[in-house]
Amino acid sequence: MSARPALAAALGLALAWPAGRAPAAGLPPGAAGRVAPAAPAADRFPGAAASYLLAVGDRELWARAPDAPRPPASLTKIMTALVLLETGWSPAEQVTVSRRAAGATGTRAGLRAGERVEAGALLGATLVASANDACLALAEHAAGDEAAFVGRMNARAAALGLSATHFENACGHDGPGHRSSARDLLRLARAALALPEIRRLAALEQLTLATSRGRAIPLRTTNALLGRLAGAAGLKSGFTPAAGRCLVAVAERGGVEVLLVLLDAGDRWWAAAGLIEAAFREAGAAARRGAGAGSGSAAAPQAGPGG
Amino acid sequence: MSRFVDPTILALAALLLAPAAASAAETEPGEEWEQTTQMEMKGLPFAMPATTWKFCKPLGDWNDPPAARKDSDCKTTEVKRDGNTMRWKVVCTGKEKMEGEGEMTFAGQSYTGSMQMHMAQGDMSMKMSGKRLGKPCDAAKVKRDVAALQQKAEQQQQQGQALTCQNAVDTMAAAAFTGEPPLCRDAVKRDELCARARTPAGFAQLKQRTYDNALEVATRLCKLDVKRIEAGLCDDALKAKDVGYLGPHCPEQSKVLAKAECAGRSYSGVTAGYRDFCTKYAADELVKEEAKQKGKDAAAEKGKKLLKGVLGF
Repeated sequence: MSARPALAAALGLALAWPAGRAPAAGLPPGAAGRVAPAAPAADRFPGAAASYLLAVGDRELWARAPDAPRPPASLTKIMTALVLLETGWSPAEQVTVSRRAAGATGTRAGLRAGERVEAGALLGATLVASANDACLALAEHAAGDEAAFVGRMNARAAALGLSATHFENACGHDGPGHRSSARDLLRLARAALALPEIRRLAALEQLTLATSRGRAIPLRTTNALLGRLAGAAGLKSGFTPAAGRCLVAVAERGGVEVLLVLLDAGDRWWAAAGLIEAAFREAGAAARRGAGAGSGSAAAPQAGPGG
Repeated sequence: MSRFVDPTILALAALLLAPAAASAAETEPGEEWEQTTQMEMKGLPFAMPATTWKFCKPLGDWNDPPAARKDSDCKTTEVKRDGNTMRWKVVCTGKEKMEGEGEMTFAGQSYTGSMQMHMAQGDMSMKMSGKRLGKPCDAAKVKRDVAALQQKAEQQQQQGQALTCQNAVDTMAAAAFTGEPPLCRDAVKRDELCARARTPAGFAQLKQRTYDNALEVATRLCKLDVKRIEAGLCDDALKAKDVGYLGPHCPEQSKVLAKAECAGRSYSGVTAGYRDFCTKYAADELVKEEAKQKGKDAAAEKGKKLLKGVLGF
């Protein structure tokens, strides 16, 4: 943790990393008995975040406390989107915003109770702008109420083998048992990125949400890497007081894909940009050394998602 | 190199194809003859086929043996005439070294003859016979054709040399201007490369060419003061805020620019032109922090061991 203030001083950045914040307590059901990965990733950058995991292709390269359960904040919405898209998704369907959804706290699109909006637009607002009102409206519409939808999310998590993950709500609000881990979120991100619609929406920098009352609501991405970091393809950011600043980021350069999960990072954008840049460098250096995939180098580049 | 016609081969071709071409006149009245040649080379398991071709002999007697161009590497020596028989020797220097001797016997409308050639590849003999066809022709044409071919070959060689030199300048291949003989002998292009070596782009290229030690070669070739050039280029790059050069080459100046353009800003607050630079700087800082941390850990471990040794626990 001592690296955090040093890095902050070197960069002169407004870093406010909580040095040494312990992983949140309270293991979710099924978290015990986890099987360790065959080749543990190195914790090369302890100052980057309380918990992080970076993978180049399908190889985990660097990690810190990747299995520690932590509040995932709005990274939860990756699962929300996955469940929505996998079960009878119809983007043109009209969704009526409930009073409860319109009153959702945190980041919001500003939807009003009784307004009708296309499901596709709400999903865009959920993934691009992390809008909790849009997210909740979709969850309620898809399953009848939020609790039923959360049940689907937990079932999907179990099917994916996300044993450190348990959801208590659909959109990422803090809760005593609302937990995931960097490794689970990486696996979830991979499953989500396999769906072209999520990949497309995750990379959008802005969109306009139109309601049945003729309101046009312009929304911007919450992902500061998009349009700024070479190869950044978005995915999801998150923040709550308990979770800190979180991020799942994907970037692709020259056929090499880097996937990064940061949980409770002091300055997630600088940390993410630096880590992703360093990962591409490492992958490039490994390629130049002729290490090639599967030669035992931890940095061997892998082609494309899942490849 | 194989694209260019070797002038020596052309000279040899002239030797064999122009048995009686004698003068360098623009045109020379002649008459057509036909020659059949049968060559033999020792060691070859098969007989080489006879070849027949027509050539234009200057009018008049056979005064000269088969002759190479005067400016080629082949010289005809010791020409002797005994009645209707002519004997001579030929010596070729240069790349295709060869010595030989030949004789021809004339009988008005025809001739017979032979040549023996001694080359590095082995001995070769050639029997020849010719007959007069009599059709008027220009006896100097062959020489003109050969001269034109040779001129074209020389032009091609010059063009090839120019391309080689320009390519060496563009890619900072300093080694092209060294060696005996150098691949490029153009002093103007050498000076051009040396001038480029003192520019950010050229110097960066030299540094990248580690595989042929280009910087080392250029340092000797152009008498470069590398440290001074590096410092000057970095200062210039800092003034010009040339992040493309600063990042990989000037750590000290990069720090100065990073403090001005990256530090204290939010990631999204970095000016567009400095985003890549600041991202790379952030990665450098992460790696530096890691190295620093490793050093601290190693020092702590060493301290622990020392204490253990002193206190004996």
